[in-house]
Amino acid sequence: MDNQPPKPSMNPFKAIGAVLAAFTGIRRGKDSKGDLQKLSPVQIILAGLICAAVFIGSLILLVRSIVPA
Amino acid sequence: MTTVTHAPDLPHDDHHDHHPTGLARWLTATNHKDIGTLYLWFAFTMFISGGVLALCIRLELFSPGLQFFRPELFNQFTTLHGLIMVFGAIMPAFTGLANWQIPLMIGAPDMAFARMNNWSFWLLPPAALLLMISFVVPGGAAAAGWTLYAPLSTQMGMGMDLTIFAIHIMGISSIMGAINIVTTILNMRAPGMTMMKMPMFCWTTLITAYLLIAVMPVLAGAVTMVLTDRHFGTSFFNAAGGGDPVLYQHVFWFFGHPEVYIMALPAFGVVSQVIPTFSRKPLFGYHSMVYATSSIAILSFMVWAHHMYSVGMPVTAQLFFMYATTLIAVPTGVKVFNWIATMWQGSMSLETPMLFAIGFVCLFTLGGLSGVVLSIAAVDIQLHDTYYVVAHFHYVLVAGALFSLFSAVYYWLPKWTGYMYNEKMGKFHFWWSMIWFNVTFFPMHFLGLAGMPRRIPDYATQFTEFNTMASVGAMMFGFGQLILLYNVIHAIRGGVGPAPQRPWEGAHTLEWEVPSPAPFHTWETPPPVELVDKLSAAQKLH
Ligand SMILES: [Cu+2]
Repeated sequence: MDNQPPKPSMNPFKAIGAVLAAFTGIRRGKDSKGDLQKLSPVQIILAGLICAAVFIGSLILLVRSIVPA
Repeated sequence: MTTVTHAPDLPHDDHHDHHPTGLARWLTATNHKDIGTLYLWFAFTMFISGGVLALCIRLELFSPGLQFFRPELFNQFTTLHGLIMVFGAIMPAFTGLANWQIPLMIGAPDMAFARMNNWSFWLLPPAALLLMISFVVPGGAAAAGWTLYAPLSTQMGMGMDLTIFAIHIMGISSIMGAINIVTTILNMRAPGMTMMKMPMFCWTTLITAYLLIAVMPVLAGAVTMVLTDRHFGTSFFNAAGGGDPVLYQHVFWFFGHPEVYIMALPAFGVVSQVIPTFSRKPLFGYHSMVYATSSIAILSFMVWAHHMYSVGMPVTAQLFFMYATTLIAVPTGVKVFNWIATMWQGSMSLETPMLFAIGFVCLFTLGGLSGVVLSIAAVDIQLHDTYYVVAHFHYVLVAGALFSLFSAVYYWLPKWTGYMYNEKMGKFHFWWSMIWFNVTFFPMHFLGLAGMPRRIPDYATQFTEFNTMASVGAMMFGFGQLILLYNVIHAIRGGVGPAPQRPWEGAHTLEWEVPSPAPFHTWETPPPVELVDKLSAAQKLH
């Protein structure tokens, strides 16, 4: 949001955002350039694994809520 | 553009260093180009062998009733057709492409482990031989279908043992090939070529290699359990001994679904090189394609049971796998939009590689669509094990993987042989394949919807017309592949003239910076950083 010069950011939400954008394939060109400068591969991989876990978890919750006990 | 031609009458290996010629050159090959060539010819041989089996299947199914083959033999044909095409043709073909192209495209002198590379190739012919001779052993070849489900696979004759050993060997070969690809890409890129400046083909091959390392051991484990059940008194899959045949299906498909992507991702990579070249535009959304490919790879591990809806699973599990499977269509669909956006307003020309790439995009999308249909559990209960499934995965694997391989062969043939192929004949090969492919496989959707089961040598008479149509289409498609063989041999022998260094003006990757044919040794001195930067700028990579 703030216009700081590109430096490594520790904001985990940026990494999550990049992963979610990757999944849907929609990302501003400017943001995708920023991702590379601001995020390290380790951050992206971690965010990817967390997103995958959340994905599985929420699917299980959704399915549980649909199927009568 | 650049038209620096290499004197085409120089033999391939006209170099200062001494290396063996004749048979010894191939047996002791450690050069990535030689090994790539070996892989590609091996794959083509297997493609023809598996194709002959397919034509035998279609011959029997031309009309109802049993005409040519006993049902037992027919089942061996379907099983070996699948195994040979998957493990003998498509996977080695992509490994061959990777061997030829990756060092050239990332500016490396060779693959990281040159001797292991030799071994990973030379394991394949013995494995193929085991599969072939299984036809003549007592009891014949494996006839359990390419999935080798227990309890069928725990009961059959020694053909099954040969198949298990063949799978072990091919698995080892794939794992070694994958280790080689990962190490080469991670460690041997030219200075200045960051991961995010790599050509898309290198990215998809890298991710595929990771998938291979992850799932080939799972397959090896599954068939080893079958082996110990057969011979060493275990009961992993034998209900009488406390085992569970459904366990086999879970383990197999935990390998099997990522395997689909092992065959599809390199195809995505090829198409992502070819379409920008012939649209004369950079690939649209390179970054999102890299990420989407990674997403697909991760998600491919959590959808395996969509192959098992009809086996019996709690509704909760069915719903989970159904939702996960429909969602995996999102990143795959994104790629299709990326390719279309790349072509959009491009200055397109339709040479043979581009034709096959566009054919790929159209037909792969169709195969993906029927895949989404099958992912709905309630629908799949009806369609499971019908010809609808056969139609679906042939759209994915023939029009997908195979067409992309054709595209790749025509695209890089000038670089490999130093000569241009016959363009007219190439276009004819495309249209011939495109038309007869659809004549063969489109009617199978109707057959499946009407309830015709797969893996049967005989069928009810109401299925006759579409089966006849499919059989005629298959014969035409199959024999049409001789056009490719002829065109390739023609190109090796001089084609329609020497190929320029960069025969495609829209291509901006490193392999077009070496002469045609690519000399025996390339990039012994890495490409200069300025060149790498110039090319990435032309591809709009940053
Ligand atoms: Cu699957």
